[in-house]
Formats: sequence, structure tokens, C-alpha cells
Amino acid sequence: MSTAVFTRNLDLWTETYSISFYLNYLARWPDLCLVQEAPNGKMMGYVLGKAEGHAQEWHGHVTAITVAPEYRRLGLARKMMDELERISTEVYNGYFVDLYVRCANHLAINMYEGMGYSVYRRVAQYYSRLPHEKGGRDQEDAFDMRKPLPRDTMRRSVRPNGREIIIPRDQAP
Amino acid sequence: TCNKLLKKQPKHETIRALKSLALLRANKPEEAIQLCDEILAAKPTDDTVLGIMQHVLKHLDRTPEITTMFEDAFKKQPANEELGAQTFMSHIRVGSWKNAQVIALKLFKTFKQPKYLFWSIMSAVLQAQNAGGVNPGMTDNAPILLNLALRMVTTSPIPSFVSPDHFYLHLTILKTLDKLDEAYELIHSDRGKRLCDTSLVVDELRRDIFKAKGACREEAILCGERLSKKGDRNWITFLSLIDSTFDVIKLNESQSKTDTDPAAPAADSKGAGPPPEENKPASSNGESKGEDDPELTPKPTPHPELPLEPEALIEGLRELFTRVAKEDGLKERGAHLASLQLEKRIRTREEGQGNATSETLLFLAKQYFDNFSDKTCCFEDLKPYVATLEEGELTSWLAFLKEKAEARDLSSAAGLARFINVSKLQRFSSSTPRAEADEQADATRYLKAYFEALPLGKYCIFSGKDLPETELQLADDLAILALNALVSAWTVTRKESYLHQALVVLEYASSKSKQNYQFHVLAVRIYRLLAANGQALSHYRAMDVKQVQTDTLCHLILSRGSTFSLALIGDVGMTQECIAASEIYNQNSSETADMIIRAFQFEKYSQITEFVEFEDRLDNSLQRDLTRLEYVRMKFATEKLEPEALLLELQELEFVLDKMHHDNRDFGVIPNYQPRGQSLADQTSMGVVRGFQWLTVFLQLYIRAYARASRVETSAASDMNTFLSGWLSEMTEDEKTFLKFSQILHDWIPCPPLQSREAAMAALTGTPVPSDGTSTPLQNTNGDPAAKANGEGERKDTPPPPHVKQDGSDPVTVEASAQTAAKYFEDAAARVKALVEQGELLWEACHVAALAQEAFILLQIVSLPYIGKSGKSKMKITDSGSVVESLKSVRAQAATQLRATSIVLSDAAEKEGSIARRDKWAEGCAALSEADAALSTEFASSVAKKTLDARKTVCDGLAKGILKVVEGH
Repeated sequence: MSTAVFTRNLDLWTETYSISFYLNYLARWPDLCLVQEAPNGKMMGYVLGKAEGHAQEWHGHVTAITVAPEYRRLGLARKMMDELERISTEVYNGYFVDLYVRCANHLAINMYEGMGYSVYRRVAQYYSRLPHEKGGRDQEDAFDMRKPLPRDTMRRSVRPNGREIIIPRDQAP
Repeated sequence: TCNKLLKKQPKHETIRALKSLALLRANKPEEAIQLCDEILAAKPTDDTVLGIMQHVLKHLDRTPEITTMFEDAFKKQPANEELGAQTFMSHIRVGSWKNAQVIALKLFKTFKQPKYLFWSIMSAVLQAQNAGGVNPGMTDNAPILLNLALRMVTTSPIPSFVSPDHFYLHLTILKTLDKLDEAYELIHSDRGKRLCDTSLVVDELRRDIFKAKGACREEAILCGERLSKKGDRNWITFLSLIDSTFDVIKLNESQSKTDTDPAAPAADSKGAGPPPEENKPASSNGESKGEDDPELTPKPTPHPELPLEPEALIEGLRELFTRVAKEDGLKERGAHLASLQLEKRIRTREEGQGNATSETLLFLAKQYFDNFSDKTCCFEDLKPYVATLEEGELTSWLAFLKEKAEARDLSSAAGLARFINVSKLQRFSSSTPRAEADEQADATRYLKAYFEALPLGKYCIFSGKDLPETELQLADDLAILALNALVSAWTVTRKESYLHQALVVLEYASSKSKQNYQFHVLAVRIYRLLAANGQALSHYRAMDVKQVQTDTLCHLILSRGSTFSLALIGDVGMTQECIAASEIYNQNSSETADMIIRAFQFEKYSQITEFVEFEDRLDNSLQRDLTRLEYVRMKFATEKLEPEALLLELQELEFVLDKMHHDNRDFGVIPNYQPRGQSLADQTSMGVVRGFQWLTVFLQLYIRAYARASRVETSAASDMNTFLSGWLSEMTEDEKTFLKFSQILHDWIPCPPLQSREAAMAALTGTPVPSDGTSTPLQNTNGDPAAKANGEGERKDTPPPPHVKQDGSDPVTVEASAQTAAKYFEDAAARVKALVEQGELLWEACHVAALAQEAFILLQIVSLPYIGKSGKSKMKITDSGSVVESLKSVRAQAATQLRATSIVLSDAAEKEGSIARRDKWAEGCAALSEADAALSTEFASSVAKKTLDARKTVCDGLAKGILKVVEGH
């Protein structure tokens, strides 16, 4: 991933962060930061990830993933997730990969479920309100979705009643 | 609290340090500085104190002293590992790689941690690259440094295989030293291979090393294997396979030449590419037979798995891509695109050999369209290949597209995407220039389709629910296509009503798709052309450009932004944008250095060079200084002109002039669906795009004027006439005239007696001047060498008559120059009037008026030594009577002309506000209602009102501002 990628990001859903936010990821987990470029050099999408957690909570985490509107419905997100999962397994030897998603973002939740993720728990008031939105619990709460990696032989990162388990924000990492 | 505690323990360093910080925060810098200096003088070693002092010094902009502070502390306590590490970091922060290298090595020797050794190695590499320096690039002593670094790597207690980043660093050193065989060997070790497999950065470097070594056969086989067996679909792999295969062809050809010509020196084959390194006879194509045979010993026979014949090699690629494309189906574009890429490459080769081109490319383009035209990216994907089609092929291609266009079906998302792709491709493939009628018809066609398809976006195609406001409309690109056609119609006819129509389309489409930033980008561009800057500004703000985007995108609103600045009448909208856009550079100086340090801490050596480059690109951004200069132009109209302030400004501008700039501006963000060879970005640019040359010329112009005003010499500015020849492609005609005016001023007004920089600065800061001869504030009037340097020194062949003579001025020439200067204002006034009357784009009239106002201020600036009010630095100028006279006379004439311009503008403003104007404007958009009733004259009228109001504000503001300048100074 090159440092030049985060300069053109005008999508509402993808926050543009400070320099140190991006560089911090690159300075620590460069192999979990991936970008996809089109043959003409345009950025199609990127993912930022990190590795964190203790003992059996050691895992890969997807901090941000985005695909430009004109390159959607091409399976790019899935490819980036595949790669991130591969690195989380082969390089970091983690137990699972997880990500946070707004409870209201059904589109994304469906997509992640299609990739093998399931809701592990609900984190209350994780997000701030989006502009143009009225707010509400589903807007502000996040689902913590997880996908087990080969090392999680006991499949501890999957539980059927994840949607009902709610934790406050300060208990989330 | 600090004071209380200090009473108890007056020598407690931590508390004193905290107090210094507190004083700083409490905005008492003098006291803070004093305390800070006292603490530093004591050379503290306490961790906490050092930490606090680091903050204090950072706030005081004295970062270099942080290094000294840590150095001193570490010298006092060489066994303190933490102090040592901090010292290292402080060197990294300021980019002194050499010192960092020394400290890191010391740390390694004392504490034996391999990490410190690698810090030292990385620092040596950065030093060799002169990373972040004024002239980045390999230094003369790079080989010594890199060999030293290499020795450190090879003697390290840990091998470089421990992590991809250590390995990356090791390979980088080998590659830079051209020790390719060693690098190659490392890559082929088991651990090396594994690192290439799991790390993209390492693999990228591996590829570079293969290429440098000329291992094209091996690269071809490796890529083939990855694509055919390992499911690799990285586009770089496809590209590399194609590239390396063509390198193999070249290599084979050059080798067969060498074979038949035994007299040819062996080095020939090396020159054409690489020494071969494989050894068995040729057999099949690019696919591997499965056996893993990395050959370390170069042998002069072709690879077993690669045929010798070019046709066979190419056919091998064709088969591979076709097979992979078939396997992947439509889920992956890679192999489909690779087929096109291959044919394009073959075409170049065939053309080079004078052969006829085959029709495969055209066939594949059609096939690709059939496969992927329901995806938005289809157009962008096909563009480079369509661009290489020949005349005859284009006819066939256009016929194919026409057929597809006729079969349009806008009832589904896929059908809509297809129609959009067809339309974009049709425009791109058509020949320029297109007639007004064609563009008009196209615009209507796109708009009809837009309205037909708009209901598709009413519901979310996935959830079936109402489309939330945060989503984009599927039909958006049709509106952008219509806009392209309308702008094109305007460029052909210069009928402004096409731009009005474009705005109506944009405002409508933007209201339906609030998050589409492309609409905002285009609206900014067109509103600016029409001088409706307020509207442009609100669209720009709707994009919420922030963080590092301000560097790449603020050009949209700030390019020649001073034209519309209303700072003189108290509207600070534009100056605020300048300030907001400059914030990122401060962030860069503090944050990026921190992150470079972090990369060291986490030993991510693969990132460090890039971080340093990133910091440099932003620090020396062209836009940064274009914004700075634009800000100066907005502000000096509002501020009292004083030699002291100008002197400070002068030093800043001189500093900027010395920089090596990077252009980070993003113009690709402006969507372009114009026929080949046209660009919407160019068509909607407010004056020719500015670049390095523009910046240099304007910087010099102001540096020279400021130097005169503050009576110091400057080596930065040369004769503006030397620019008038080649350098002016980035300037508008009116900017060129302005530049000439500045030269006239320079030649006409005699250079005042100059003082030395030190003396001027001393006078400014109030510090006493050291009492040696050189620093006398008043140098011997006209005879001094500095004045000479500013006089006729390096004048070229055709400048206005030089008259800045040591022995006073020639009254006749003075009079002539004065008249030429006055004429500038007369011409400018006439031009503004003509532009307004002829109904040219309003920005142009504003541009000329703003420049004339700027010229007036420039005149004030260079007159300062003669008519300055400030008594502080006033020096006696002998025999200046005639100069003062003519200055006053020109100023009076200029004021008269500017007043006239002000009246022209305020008359224009009044007209903009009239109902009749609005109705006429809306009527001009009547053609749009043909496309859909939604684009009614009522809607157009509402857009017209906003636009005209914004124009009125600009004209009014400019008119009033000019009066203020004329009267205020």
C-alpha cells in the first residue's frame, strides 16, 4: 500500500482520517494494509487492518475497507478480505478476523455474512451519528462480526446468539 | 501551582520544566523562553524533564535543539538506554541520518540489541539516498555507506530473514549496490521464497531485482505459474508476465544474432537484456511443468519451459489468458483485460516491424464489452485499448456501439450501466471536433435517458427499500455525460447559455444524488467561470475536503482564487479557505516525523523511505506555495503596507523560491467523457493551468518589489523580461501584461539606496547593530555596489530603456516610463469595460480588474521608499524630487482609471440583480425542458437567481474593494 492512496476519498461512508492515522497503520502492520488499483492507476479500493488481542483473543482486525462506487459489484472487497485473512493466518497466526459494522448497514452485514462472518456481539453506541441520518440505536450501535481462522479449532469466535449479547463501548477494544 | 511548588523546591527541574510549558500555554512566550534556556543550560538528564522540554522546544519551533539536549544528556549518562534511544529518535525527527546512524551503532555496541544495529543500517541507507534532502538521490559517498550497511547486515547476530522488513532492507542494499547475484541467491533460499510469498513489498522488490538482473525467463515462468496454478490474479502479475515474455523474445533475438556472429562481443547480449541463466532445451509455453528448478548458475541456453520462437511464446500467453478467463468466467476481469493488453503489446511490436496489424484487438474489445458492459468500470477498462484502434477499426467499433445503443434498455440496473458505457465509449471513440448540433442532440439524448432511468434509483436494488440519501443514483453518469456535451457545445460556439444549461443539469442531478462529489467538482468549475464564486464555494464545501485532500484538491477553488477574494470588504470566505488548506502542512511536519519514528520502533523498514518521501512531497508541495502566494495577494490589499512587514514576507518568499516543488494536485478527479484529445478539465479551467513556472515568475515579481520597498538587496529576482520569452505558457494574457507592468515599474523607479540584510533585520527586531563598518544602515547613496546589482546588471536584449544610472535619472526616460505605467491602468480599464460589454465570461473581467488593483498596490509597494509614511526606517534620498513627482502623477492617473473600472463593475452588478436578466438566463435554458419537464424554466430560473446573486456579490465586492484600495492608500 502506498501512502498516496488516501488522498482521494470523497465517499461519505469512508471517513478521511489524519495523516498519522494512516501512517500509524502502515508503520505497524504494513502487510495488513492493502490497496487495489485499476490498470489505469485509479484506486479501486483499500483495506486497513491490524493485529491485536491477548492469548486466544489474538486476531486480525479490519479497521476500514472501502471500494470506489465505479468498482463495486466486482468482488473487490471479498478479495481484499481474503488476502487480509490469509496474512492474519500465515504471518500473524491469529485465531480469527473481526470487524465492526453499523447495525443499520444491512448491505454490508449481508456481504460479510456471505464471506463467512457472523455477529459475535453488539457494541452499544460505538459510532457517532452520520450526517443526513436521524440517528437511533441501529445507526449508532455496531456489530462485532468475526470469522474463525484455522487456528481457532474450537470455533470460539462463533456463537449463534451473538446479536443478543450487548456490551458497552468502553469494553470494546 | 508550579510557582507554589517552586517556592518549596526552587531547583526542582521537573516543576521548572512544567512551568515553562505552562507559561507557553498561557501565551507568555518571553518568560517561557527565558526559563527554557535556563533549564537547557543546566543540561538535564531526567527523563521527565527531557520529555517536557521536548514539548516546549517543539512549541517554540526550536526542534533542532531537542537533538542537542538529548545528545548532551546521553553523553552524561551513556549507560542510559532510554536516553540513547530518545537521542536517536530526535535525530530521525530532524532527518539527520548521519548522527542517527552513529548513535544507533553506539547503542548496539553498548546494549547488544540487534534492533539498534538495524536502526543504524536503515539510517545509513537513508543517508546514502539523501532522503528528504534538498536534492534527494544517491550521494557521492553512497557506495561507502551502503557497503558499510551491508557489512552490518551480514555480521548481524540475527539474519535478515527474521522479518519481511529486515529482508526488504537487506535486498534494497544489495540492489542499490548492484550486487544482484547475491540478492538473487537470497531470494532463492527457502526462507527468502517464503517471504516473497507472504509479503507484497518484498515480492515487488524481488521483481525489480529479477528485472535488473535480466532474469526475464525466470520471471515469465514464475508469473505463469502463479496465474495458472496459484490463483494469483494480481494485475501486476499479468503485466509482468507480458513484459517479461517480450523481454525473452528480445533476448532470444539478440542471442541468435550473437550466435551467428561469433565476432560480436559477449557483452552485447548483456546490453540488450540479461545473461541467460537456464539450461535445458525448449519445450512448452509459459506454464510450468511443475518441477521446481531455480537455477543459480547462469548457463547460456534457453529455459526448458520456454519456446524459442516468438510466435510460440506469444501463443503461449494467448492460450494461458484464454484458459484463465474461461475458468474465472465473469467474476474476474484480470485475464480478459490481459488478453487485450497482450494484443496491444503485439500491435506495438508489429508496427515497429512494419507489419500489418491483426483485428484481434478489435474483436477482443467487442468481446470485453459484451462480457462486462453491465459494470460501471467497463468504460475505464476499455479506454486504453480503444485509443489504439485505427481509423478503419474505429468505424467498425462505432457501428458496433451504435447497434448496442439502439438496443438500449433502461428498465434494469444492468441495462442502464450498459447504456452509460455505450454512451461514454461513443463519445470517446468519436472524432473531434464535433459540431454544436451533435452535442446538443447528445445532451438531450443523455438527459432523456437520465430521466427515464432515474426511477431505478428510487429503491435500493438490494433491499427494495427507499434509496437512502447517502446512496448515489445509478443514472448519475448520464447527467455528467450531458454536462460534457453541453460544455463541448459551449467550447464550439462560446454561447454562454450552454454553461447555464450545464449548471441547471448539475443542480438538478445534485439534488437527487447529494453525495455525488463529481457534481460538486463540476459545479465548482463552471460557477467559477461565470464568476459566481459564492456558489462555487458552497459546492466546494459540500465535498467536505479535509486532511491531506486539501493539498490535492484545494486547487479547485483556490486557483487564481484572489480574483474573487472579497477580503477588502470584510468577506473572509476565500482567505479562510487558504488557511484551512494550509493546515495539513503543519500536521505533516509534526505527525509524519512521529510516524517515521514509529516505523523505526516497530522495525517496519520497508515503509520508512516512503514515509520520508511522503513528508517531502507534502512539505514541498507546489500547491502549498501557490496557496501561500494566493493568500498574500488576497491579504496585502487589506493590510497597511510597511517596509518592516514586507521584509519578513520577503524572506519567506525567498525561502519558497529555493524549494524543489512537487505537484500533488489531482486533476483526475474531474470526470472527463469528452472525445479523444479533449479534456473537460482544460475546457473548464479558469485560465491556463498554473505550475512551477507561474509560481517562480510571480514569486520573483514580489520578491523584487518587496526588496525595493524594504531597501535590501536580493539575489533571487532577475529581469522579468527574460521570462517573457519561453516561460509564460502558464500565464493568462492579462497576467503577462501585469508582469510587463512590473518590469516597467522596476525600470522606471530608481533603486533606492540599499541597506544590508543584517541591518534591516536589526532595525526590525530592535536589536543593536554590531558596530563594524558593514552594518551601517545607510550605505553610501547611489554609488554602492548593491544598487548596481539591482540596476542594469544582467539585462537582456530587448528591455525598456535602462535608466537607473548611478548619477541620477534621465528625466526624459523617466517621463516615458511613467507614461507607459499609467497606460497600463488605462488599458486595463478599457479591457474590463470591453469584456463586460461584449458579454465575455465574467471571470475574465474580474481577473483583469483584480490584476489592475494588484498593480496599483504593487505601485504603492515600490514607491514606499519615496512616499512611505512610516518614519522609522526612512532614509534620505537625494534628488528624488522628479521621481516623487512622476510617482504621484501616475498614481493619480491609475486611481482615476480604477475608479472608472469600479463604476463599470458596480453597473454590471446592478444588471446581474435584475429580473430581466434572470428571465433571459432562464429562457436560454428552455431547450432543457425538451428532455424533461423537471428542467422547467422555473427550475432554471431558481438556478439563475442563485448564480446571478453570486455574480452580483462578486462584482459589487470587487467594485467596492477597488475604491477602498484607491482611497485607502
